[in-house]
Amino acid sequence: MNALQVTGLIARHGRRAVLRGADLHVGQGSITALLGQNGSGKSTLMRSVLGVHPRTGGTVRVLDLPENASGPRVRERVTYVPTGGAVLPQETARTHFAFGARIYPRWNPQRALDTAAELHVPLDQRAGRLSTGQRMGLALAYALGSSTELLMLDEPTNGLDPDHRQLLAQFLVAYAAEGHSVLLSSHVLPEVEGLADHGAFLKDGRVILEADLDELRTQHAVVQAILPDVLPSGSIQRLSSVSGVRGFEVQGRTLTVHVQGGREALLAALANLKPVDIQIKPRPLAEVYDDLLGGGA
Amino acid sequence: MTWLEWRHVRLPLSLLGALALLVGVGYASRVLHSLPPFASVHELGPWANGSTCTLWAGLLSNRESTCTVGLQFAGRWFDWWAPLLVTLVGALFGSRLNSGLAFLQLQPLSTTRILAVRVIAGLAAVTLAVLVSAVLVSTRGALDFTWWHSGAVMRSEFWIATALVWGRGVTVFVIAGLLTQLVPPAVSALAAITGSLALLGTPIDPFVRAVTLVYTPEQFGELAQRESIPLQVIQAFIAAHAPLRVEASFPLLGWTLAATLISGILMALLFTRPRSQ
Amino acid sequence: MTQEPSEERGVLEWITPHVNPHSGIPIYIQIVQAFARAIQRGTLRPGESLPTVRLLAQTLRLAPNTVTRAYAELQRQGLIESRAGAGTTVLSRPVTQFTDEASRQALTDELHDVLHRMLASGLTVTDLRRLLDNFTASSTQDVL
Repeated sequence: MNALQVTGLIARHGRRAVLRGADLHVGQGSITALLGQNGSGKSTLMRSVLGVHPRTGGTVRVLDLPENASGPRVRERVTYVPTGGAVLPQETARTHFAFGARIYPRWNPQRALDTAAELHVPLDQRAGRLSTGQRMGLALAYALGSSTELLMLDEPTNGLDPDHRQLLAQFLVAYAAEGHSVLLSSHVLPEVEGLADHGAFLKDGRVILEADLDELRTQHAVVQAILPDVLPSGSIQRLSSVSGVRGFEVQGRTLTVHVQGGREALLAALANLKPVDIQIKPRPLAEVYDDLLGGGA
Repeated sequence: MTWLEWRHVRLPLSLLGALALLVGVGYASRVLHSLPPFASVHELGPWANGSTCTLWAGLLSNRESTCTVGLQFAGRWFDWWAPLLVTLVGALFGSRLNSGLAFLQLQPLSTTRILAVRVIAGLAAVTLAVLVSAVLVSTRGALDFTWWHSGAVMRSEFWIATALVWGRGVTVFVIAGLLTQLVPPAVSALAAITGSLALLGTPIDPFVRAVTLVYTPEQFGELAQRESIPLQVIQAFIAAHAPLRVEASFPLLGWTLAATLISGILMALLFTRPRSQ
Repeated sequence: MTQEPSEERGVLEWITPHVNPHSGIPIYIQIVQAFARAIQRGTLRPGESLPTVRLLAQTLRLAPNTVTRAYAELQRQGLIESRAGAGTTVLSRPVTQFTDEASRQALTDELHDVLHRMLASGLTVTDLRRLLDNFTASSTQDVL
């Protein structure tokens, strides 16, 4: 049973079709990163799952609930923290927690208070008067206190200073270690790299790739060859059509090839050019992200 | 949800309640006078807003010639502070209809439930305010005419007036609630309060009961000849003389209630509309 | 955070610089390699206990699944053992033995990679054979 299974999700934002058939799954105990540029529909996807944004097509299955279960039923098991965090402006943090205790059957008061303490959230000030970072801290403390099986966070690192970002990562890891599942969205891969074990890349309203991130790292590599002479014309086309080649750079006598999957074909092709030196290096995922989603990692 | 609602409203409600009690007790014990123009200076008799004599003669002499005196009852009954209190309460609850909605939408609550709790809270608050003011006002006693005993007046006009004040409160609540779907809460509260108070006591105020006392020109006697009759004179006259008949009407009330109902439905629809962000 | 026993704290301290989430090397492999090297060099002795998945994940700010995978791989390589209640400990083995077909296959693939690169850079098969002979000769001296 997955924490979340989304199939063919279609949603609009006004007249614009934002999601055009997105597929996504979040395994239990996984921290999954939903990656995409700003405006690609990450928030819309999360809100559609929650039943807060209208869906025009596709199915959403949350945990053991029936497909396309009603909003309130989904929200009993899934907590969502929007960008910047949503709070009740007139109420204090303590009131928020008291409310949460009444509304969530598995509310964990200690975790809520500890998170708030570590993120320096004043407990007796009206939420409307908190700073951006404190308001986000309150929203996070409330979300973690709810102890729901799936936690969805929209760009959670926005508005948090670096210390608090590290704390947030620790909280989420501890939460996942207890068996909860986490889906967090980001448009900057390095901020969630390591924290996430699974990734889904959202572009043009569809998830163009969903993979275990370590698997992705295994598949992608950079082969750098130093040639004895400048690359003869025609070889560029030949080399780029070798299976697995995803990208190409030539600078003088240095050839840099981005390869995915098996490398034998490429290495055999390179051998014909009699390179002086060949190195195979791992390829940072940030570059893979750039290739997939274009710009702004 | 109900718990949250109570937590939020208990402070403003107790403040308003204390204020209402203070002013109301002052009013009831006759320490505080009613303020013109809604009350007579001597606190005798209702606000008479004009007397006209219509005399038919000659070929049309078969028509009834009358002298009429128009009175406003609800405006007089509760003067200014009960409608004011009820306006404030209605505007407060109406304008915070959407408060904290961004957060509440994400909770395992249905939107209809949130709306229902907030509407019931608002209506309950208005009703409470009206009952408190009714209790305090009733202690001032009723008008006493020679021909219309105060007991009878209290039994009929008083409760009609109370209902009209309630209607005012509910309408302010609905207007504020509707406006707050479109403009910030502070703006909607101010707009609703201003609208209600601006209309209070004017001829186009929907929540008044207009009573017309119809006299024959003979009853009016020499008063019929005078151009502008001072208020005390009119009041002394109507207190002493029984009219031919009493006509009562609620101008504008029917339309206003219909408009309130439609606004209420619109407010509910706007509240529960699926929001994209 | 509660105070871990000092040996676990030591482990947490030395492993942190060995794991770089941005390098492009699968993170679980980085953890596996760091621990494997430490065990082979003797930095981690048999019987020493490793941090729990949760503690290691929190310290390194990695997804628990990643750490679980690393520990599973180390266990498959026969380097560590997880027992309910006793935690994870380093196994006492003088020389690591690769009992698993999958790990053997992974190493073979790695060797093929290197061999291809060597051939592509101009070495001949004869050169490779000579390299292997030299290696065998020197490694039999090291084993003890």
